[in-house]
Amino acid sequence: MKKTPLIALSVFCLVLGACASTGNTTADDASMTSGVSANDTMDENTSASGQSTTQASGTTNTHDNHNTSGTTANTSGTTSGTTGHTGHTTSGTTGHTGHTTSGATATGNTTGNTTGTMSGTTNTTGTAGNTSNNWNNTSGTTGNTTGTMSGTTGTHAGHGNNLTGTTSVSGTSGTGTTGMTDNTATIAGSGTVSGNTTANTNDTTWNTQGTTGTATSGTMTSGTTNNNNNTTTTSGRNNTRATTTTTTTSGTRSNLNTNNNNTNNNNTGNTTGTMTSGSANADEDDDTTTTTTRTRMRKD
Amino acid sequence: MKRTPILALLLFLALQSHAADDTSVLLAKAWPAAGVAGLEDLGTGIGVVFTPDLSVKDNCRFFEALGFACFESADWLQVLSDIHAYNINHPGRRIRTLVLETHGTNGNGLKVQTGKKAEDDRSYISVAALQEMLEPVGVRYIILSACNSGRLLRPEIYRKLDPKNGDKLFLPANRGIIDATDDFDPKRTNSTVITPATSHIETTLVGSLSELAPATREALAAAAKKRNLELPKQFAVSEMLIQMLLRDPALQLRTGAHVEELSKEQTSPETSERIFRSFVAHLDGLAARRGTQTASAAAR
Repeated sequence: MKKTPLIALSVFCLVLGACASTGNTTADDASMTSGVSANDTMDENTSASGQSTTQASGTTNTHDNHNTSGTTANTSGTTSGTTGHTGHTTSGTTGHTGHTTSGATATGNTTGNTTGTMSGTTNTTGTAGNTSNNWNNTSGTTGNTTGTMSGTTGTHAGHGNNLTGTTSVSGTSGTGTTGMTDNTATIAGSGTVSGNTTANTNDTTWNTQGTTGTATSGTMTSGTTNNNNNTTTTSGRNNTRATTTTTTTSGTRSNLNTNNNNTNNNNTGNTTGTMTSGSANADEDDDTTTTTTRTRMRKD
Repeated sequence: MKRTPILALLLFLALQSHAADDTSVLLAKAWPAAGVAGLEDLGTGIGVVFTPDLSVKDNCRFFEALGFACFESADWLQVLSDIHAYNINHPGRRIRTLVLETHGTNGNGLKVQTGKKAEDDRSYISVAALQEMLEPVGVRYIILSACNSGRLLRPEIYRKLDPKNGDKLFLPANRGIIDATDDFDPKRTNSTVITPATSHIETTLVGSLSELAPATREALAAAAKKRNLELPKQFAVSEMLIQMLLRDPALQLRTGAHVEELSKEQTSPETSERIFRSFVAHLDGLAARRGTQTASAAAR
């Protein structure tokens, strides 16, 4: 009873030749097994190597070993994604019955696409950011400048970004992580100490802003003859009167009472000094100008 | 014949001595901590009221760092309200003595104002009104550091100011005038009004923190930080307050008497400078003493 159907089928096949193999996997369970067996040779660990950039993407062919080909893989990066076993998708259709797995079955090569995304931390190369200086000379106060330094550096903070400013004596560190905070920044360049001097007096200016700057020279740019001695003293809060420079001004009288914020309005001539060097000091301090004439207010 | 001048001289010296004693006793009662307190507790129990136009930016922060309670407004109602609130909220540091750094309007009314233009905010108060309103919150001494303040006690304006006094300094009170009520009985009040013994123009001086020694600035900064304050660059302080603090024998105070004389006398700039320098020296001395104590404590 049991052999009858087999015999009948064999006869049928011999007659019609309808059962010849084409080299493709037949759709029975046994042939599907040979196709899937390619998974056994897959290495679940995908190594990533390569150079820089932040994202890896590409197609991985699962020929024996999983090699992630693509444009990247950083040494410090990690590859996440589904590059292993479970990430395989077999292209084509693996039908359950009567279908073939394209290009896969007989050779045991299962072609699949592995998609993975390179994520993680890439090698960030910090860029010393824009360090902009905005020094505002306070007009009318000799040697007294207030300014703010703003700007951000990259992740290489504290590497002593050179700060090039257009001014001189002082400034307060602004926002951002500039080199100012560790006092390693330097101020270089030419700055201007401008202001008005007081006629017929020795005008002593204290600049206690946190810069140990040195006014090394002064040049009279305009004004009439003025034989006064004007003393500019700069000091930082943690420094004691860093440097004293005496500038003798002479020249042509001009600009009377112009651009003048001094308490004493008897100003003649402008004195211009040049800041040649100095190192930044993050201290915040007084940058007011003290003149020898004290403000007195009547309480009448 | 010859004895008369000698007797007169002796009598004069005796009166001077008595006045000095009165002053020292008054100050011992009104400002007992002045002689012994450290820098950050110098103003314990003392409130200072500034008229805005005799002050500098953030002046109160300087005084608060020194332990004073400080108020600044052109509206007396606001000042009184703030004093009330302070004494309620600071039971351990209540104001017992109030120093008025205000205008005296030639002895015609205690004036606080933002400026000298007619349209500026401005208000006036009588001395009796101050006593009436401040005694209930524990203010025992009111020290008038205003010009010609002895004239403020004249019977005709002690309780109620005369807005039509004709004085050109008596500018429009667009923030009102506060007089005592009819119920106020000066004989029953426990508050004492203290004035300079003689009429003159009181003076407020402006100084800069940079004039203080570095150690003093550091001590002040530490005191300010404790109280969540940021120190100003400048401060305004009256000669009279300095003299009270230093127990200057040149300062003569008195209570319970008025004067009629309107004086235009004012200290010379040289005297002002000497007084201010003594203030700076005192603060520097306190800071140095604090530094020594700190070092000794650390050594132990």
